[in-house]
Amino acid sequence: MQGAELRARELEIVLPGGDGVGPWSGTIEPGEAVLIIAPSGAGKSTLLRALAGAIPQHVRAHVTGSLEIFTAGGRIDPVAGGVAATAGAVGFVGQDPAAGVAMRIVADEIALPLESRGVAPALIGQAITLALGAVGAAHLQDRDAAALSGGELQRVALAAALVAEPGVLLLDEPTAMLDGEGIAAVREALRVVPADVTTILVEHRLDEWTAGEGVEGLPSRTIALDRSGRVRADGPTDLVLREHGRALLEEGCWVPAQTELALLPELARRLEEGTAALDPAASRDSAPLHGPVGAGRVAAASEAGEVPRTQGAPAAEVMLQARAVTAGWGETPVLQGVDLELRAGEITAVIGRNGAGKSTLLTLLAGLLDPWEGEVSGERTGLAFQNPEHQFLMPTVIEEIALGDPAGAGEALERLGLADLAGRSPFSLSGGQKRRLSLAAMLAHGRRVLLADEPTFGLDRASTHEVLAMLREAADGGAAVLMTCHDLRTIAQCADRALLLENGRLHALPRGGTPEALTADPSIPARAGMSVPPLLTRILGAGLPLRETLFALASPGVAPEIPGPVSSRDGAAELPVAKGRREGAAR
Amino acid sequence: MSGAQEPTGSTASEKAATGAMSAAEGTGARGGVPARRGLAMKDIVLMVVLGVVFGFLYWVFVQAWTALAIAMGPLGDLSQHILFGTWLLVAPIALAIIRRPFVGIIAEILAAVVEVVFLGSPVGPLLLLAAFLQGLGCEIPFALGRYRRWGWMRFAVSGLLGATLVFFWTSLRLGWYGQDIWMLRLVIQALSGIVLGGLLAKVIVDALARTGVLVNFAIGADADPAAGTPRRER
Amino acid sequence: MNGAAASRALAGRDSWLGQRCPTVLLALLVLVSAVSVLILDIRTLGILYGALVVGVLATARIGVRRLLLAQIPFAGFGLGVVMVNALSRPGTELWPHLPVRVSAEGIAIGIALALRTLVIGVGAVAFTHVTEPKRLMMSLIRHAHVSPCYAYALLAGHRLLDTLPAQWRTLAQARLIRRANAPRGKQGRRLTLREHASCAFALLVGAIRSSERIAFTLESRGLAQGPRTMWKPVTCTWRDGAMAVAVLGAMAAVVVLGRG
Repeated sequence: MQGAELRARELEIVLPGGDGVGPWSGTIEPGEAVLIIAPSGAGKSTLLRALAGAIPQHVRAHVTGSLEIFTAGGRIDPVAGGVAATAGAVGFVGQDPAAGVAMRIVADEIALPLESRGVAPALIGQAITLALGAVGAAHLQDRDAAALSGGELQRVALAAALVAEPGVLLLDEPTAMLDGEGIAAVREALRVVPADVTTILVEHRLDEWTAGEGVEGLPSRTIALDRSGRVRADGPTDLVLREHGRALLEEGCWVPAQTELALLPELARRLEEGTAALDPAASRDSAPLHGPVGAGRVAAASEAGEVPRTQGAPAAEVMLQARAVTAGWGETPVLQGVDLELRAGEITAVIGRNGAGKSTLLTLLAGLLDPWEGEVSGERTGLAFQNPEHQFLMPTVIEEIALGDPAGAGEALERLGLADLAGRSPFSLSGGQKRRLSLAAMLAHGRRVLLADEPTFGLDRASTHEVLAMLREAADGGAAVLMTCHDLRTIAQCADRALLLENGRLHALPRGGTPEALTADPSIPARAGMSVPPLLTRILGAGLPLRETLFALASPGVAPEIPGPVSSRDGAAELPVAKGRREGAAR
Repeated sequence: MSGAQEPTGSTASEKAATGAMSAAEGTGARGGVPARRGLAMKDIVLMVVLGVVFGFLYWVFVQAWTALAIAMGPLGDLSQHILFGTWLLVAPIALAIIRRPFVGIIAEILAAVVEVVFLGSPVGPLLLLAAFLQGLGCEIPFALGRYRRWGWMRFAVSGLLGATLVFFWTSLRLGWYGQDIWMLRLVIQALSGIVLGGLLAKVIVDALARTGVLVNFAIGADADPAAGTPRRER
Repeated sequence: MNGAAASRALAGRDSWLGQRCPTVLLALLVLVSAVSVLILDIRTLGILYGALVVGVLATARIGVRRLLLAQIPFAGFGLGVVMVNALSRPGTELWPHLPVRVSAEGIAIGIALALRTLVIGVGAVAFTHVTEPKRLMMSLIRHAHVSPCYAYALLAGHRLLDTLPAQWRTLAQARLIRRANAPRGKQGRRLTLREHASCAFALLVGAIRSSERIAFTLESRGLAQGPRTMWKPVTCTWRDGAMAVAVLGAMAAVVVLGRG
């Protein structure tokens, strides 16, 4: 099918809660590629769902104005016709990989749109093979969807969308729930989308999406929405980002690194010049200090030709310790020979590929899984789960915190900015609010070891910084923090060191596993399926301290001061982090 | 979603004059879309998912069931009546969320299909007939309220009828007629239906509504007609 | 499902019975179950049970051991039925000196009812053993005119069902971690009733969220009431007719034999 044209006139959608998007008037030409960029809650997914015909049929909302899709086959009204009317012309890939594939067997999922279109049965088998092959998923044809990774599921969903030869392809944060490798695989798969297909992309981690290509790697046109869902700008992507980048940043959007840098000319100039110290090693002095952790780490550090640093602050108290632990589920061990020490005041990141055993490690350290061999000893741990909803067990927000800390719940809600929502169900909060509430509820138990499974997963920029600030505050308050993470920028901004989990073995990393070490040697993060964001390389290359610089970037409006090349750790902790942002109260 | 749904909000309806006014126009005035007589896909999937989740939960809780049966010794056979009400939950919950005719019956039958085909229930396809009777019983009080009344009393009657109607069929299937304890069975099952079928369903529905997950279903539309979307799912 | 269970299931689906049209199979199963409800005679039900076991063993590629194992719950239930009926039905008292009344009629009816449970049970076990849900649904769409919307929604529900045990485990862990006292050992990690309820509720909330996304996915694949083709249609052949005739004939013979 040829690309379709989209035409909207004063299109405005208001959800039952009062959130809305639009009014938007505009035309998207056949074959055009458009990026929609907006902070969380601005309704960018709502807009995309409307284009797919899901509003108001699936998502209850009040729609005014008009929306039309013109295809070779005629005119479609997605609002009146619903998904059934758009199904033949619009392909959709959403955030949640599990819900994007509805059938158990992959081939059945691809067959479904073909059968619905009345394709002759004899032709379907070949079409399935071709469609899966195009997205690099031919080997998955007979597999059970339950056994696929998120990246594989998203590719299957893409194949199922493309096999119907849509005129419009809608991509609603297709990589939000994926790790680095999954993102790369989906990005690669999207290359097969024919050039004449109109593509509309909602994506917030733009640097990951473009894999360092910067603004050039993005769709050429961008529609930016403000926090309340009104159209802020609509035009060429580079122009929109240049003119509205600061506003987008301040509202909590992720924007490409080069846009961020453009907003901090002083920092950009310093990165350009690279004056301070071109030797990345120099900047490591600014890295947080910590004592040797476990014999394995000393050995690894020595191998890297470096003496472990023990100068400065005395080694903090060990809060949790694992010695030579082997553990697993059923018959097969998942973890083998795990040695680990977590110290007060320290944030440790564990990196590793899907299936390396990260969840099992957290379960083990949390005391929910008994080691087969070796032992885990130390303080009682708290564990924040990846999906905050898994953790909610009380009917209201305030009770959720009061469960661990009856006396301090009210005050904790004030600090979280959730005081207005105290009586609401925790399930009814926004994504970022849920994540912060689940962390705060866990912290309320006063445990001195906090484990967090991908705490910033799928969050927008503002919420990410808030969550990281909470983790840092906990560590500064004397807790030992361990988080799994697959984003090096997050690690560099927050963690003191990283450990690599590979095939069930936990490895100490060269040079203490500091973010600087990971940035300087991309082969290490690569073992965890992660890539080094070019921004980090540039910061390090200019001899600037990673964490402080990233903190400065985190809040350009609040902290225009650019840190010097070398600064103390205390200085870092005091830098303001997304100060004063209150999500719930404002809406 | 067939039939007329008139906008009632004043400012909203004025604005709507310029464009599409929600799914109300399912009659095809604009898009040439034929009116849909059956249930919407999201309602169908919701019913299936309720059946799947409760099927799974019965499986999880079956240990408690067995424990109770053993604790009651020779009266273990009676224990099935005590927890009987939980088998009804799907129907009143689905009805209260979707608020359309026959939803109670369809939801129970779908739950039975899940039990028989996916979970391998030992009762086999005869469960479908039991499910029909359970759904029918649960649906009667809500149908009499024209799917507009959702008070505690109606849920209690729903559980009561759901439990008793099917009791006569199960009595035949399992040969309870002629036993001394037939009446005792009936009374226990009816009480269980009221408490664990009807009233518990209301508790669950209210708790679900508070979480916001039901906002896109008919129950959500009924709960906040003033929130800018003056639609009624009917 | 573990490997062994998976391969067992595959064996059943490749069997002669597994190759039959699932709609016909389902109809016959309904018939056999319904007829057994109308009979309350030990002899007839005994013959029917025997015939069914032989038929299933011959055509369903199910081992004697597995069939017996699958019958254990029914046997337990059946025993309970015999006891309850023996104690709860008026009639000739067999052992008047016992403190409880045990009637001969009660025992007879109890045994018949237990046999009925076994008959229905063996049919249900065989049906699940040989029937692949996808094939059943495709067959029902084609031969029983079941709406594809409902059939595919059920299949999507089957996929969701696969994910629930893992979700349940995570939910259970999340409850344990928030207890005041650290859970130690297997015993300490058992959930309380309240925690069970909390897990169940969270599971339900998540599943309802998923249901909305799944419904959208299905519909965006063009799933609707209208005409559609079928990639791998399930056909009804003369063998299915033969099977139906054979089962009906056998049923009639059993009833006649039981009377005689």
